[in-house]
Amino acid sequence: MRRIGLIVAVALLTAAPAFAQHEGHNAASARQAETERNRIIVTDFFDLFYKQKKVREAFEKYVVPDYIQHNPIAPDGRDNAINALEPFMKNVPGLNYEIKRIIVDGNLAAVHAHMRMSPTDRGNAVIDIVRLENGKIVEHWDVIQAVPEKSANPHPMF
Amino acid sequence: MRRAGRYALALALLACTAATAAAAQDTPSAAAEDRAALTARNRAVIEAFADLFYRQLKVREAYEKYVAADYRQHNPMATDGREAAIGFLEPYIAANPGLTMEVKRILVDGDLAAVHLLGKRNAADRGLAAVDILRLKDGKIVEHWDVTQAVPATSANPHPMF
Repeated sequence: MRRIGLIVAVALLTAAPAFAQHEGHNAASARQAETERNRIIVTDFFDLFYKQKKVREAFEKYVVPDYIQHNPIAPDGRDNAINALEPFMKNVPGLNYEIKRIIVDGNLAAVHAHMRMSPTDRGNAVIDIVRLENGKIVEHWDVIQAVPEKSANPHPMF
Repeated sequence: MRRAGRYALALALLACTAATAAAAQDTPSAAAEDRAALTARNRAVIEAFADLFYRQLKVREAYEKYVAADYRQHNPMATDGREAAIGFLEPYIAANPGLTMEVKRILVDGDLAAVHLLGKRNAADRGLAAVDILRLKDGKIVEHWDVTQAVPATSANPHPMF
């Protein structure tokens, strides 16, 4: 009887890692499903915003009204973002954002873009990071760096 | 007979349609499974690299373990290759004993990863906000881009840059 108990205990212990692996697999699949849902949203948002320059449409469709802003020159909230970005995009007709790559991981996304004010502008390298909740962008961080004239390596900054 | 023939044709068409639909349904889920597995493998590599390099500042160990010898550099201040990176970073870290790199978030998506961090030369430094983007191949980092920005003294919103 004791031996049977031992066998059962050993069997349970052996089964536990397999179960854990299965759980890990399910968690990875669930995360991938969330990633793919958010990839569609982020791709469409940045297409509307950066490529088509439809600021209001992009923000009203995909950004929550009380979204949290970490860019130090912008205040919180969707309307503040629209009010700052709409005139900027209209007043700089040569403004061009080229999206280089989009990285999506669960509820976070990073977008690497080259922003130029005119065709001769070396421009800025920009990485935006956004957090999503229930299919909407709720938080934003970014880093911006001027593209230098010269580089120590033979590649562009992108 | 003709009616039977027509029926057979309809069945064949239906079978073809069903097969196509099943294949179409199978393909994305298989691709998603592959991508999830690749992401999971690369997440382990990036987490280990981040721990050694950013947190423990063990430059040579981190780079020799996780970076390909001929890795491609896009940071305009650095030259190509792993040894060049080690040669650039090791003396910088030695010259700044108060240096910290605080990893704020890591994103991994297939063969790409982004690391958002705050680099500070000492405790009083407001520091530099940085995002490193890394491309992986066969479990090694093979390419690097970054964007850095000095953290300003004041902000238009009540949040830090992170």
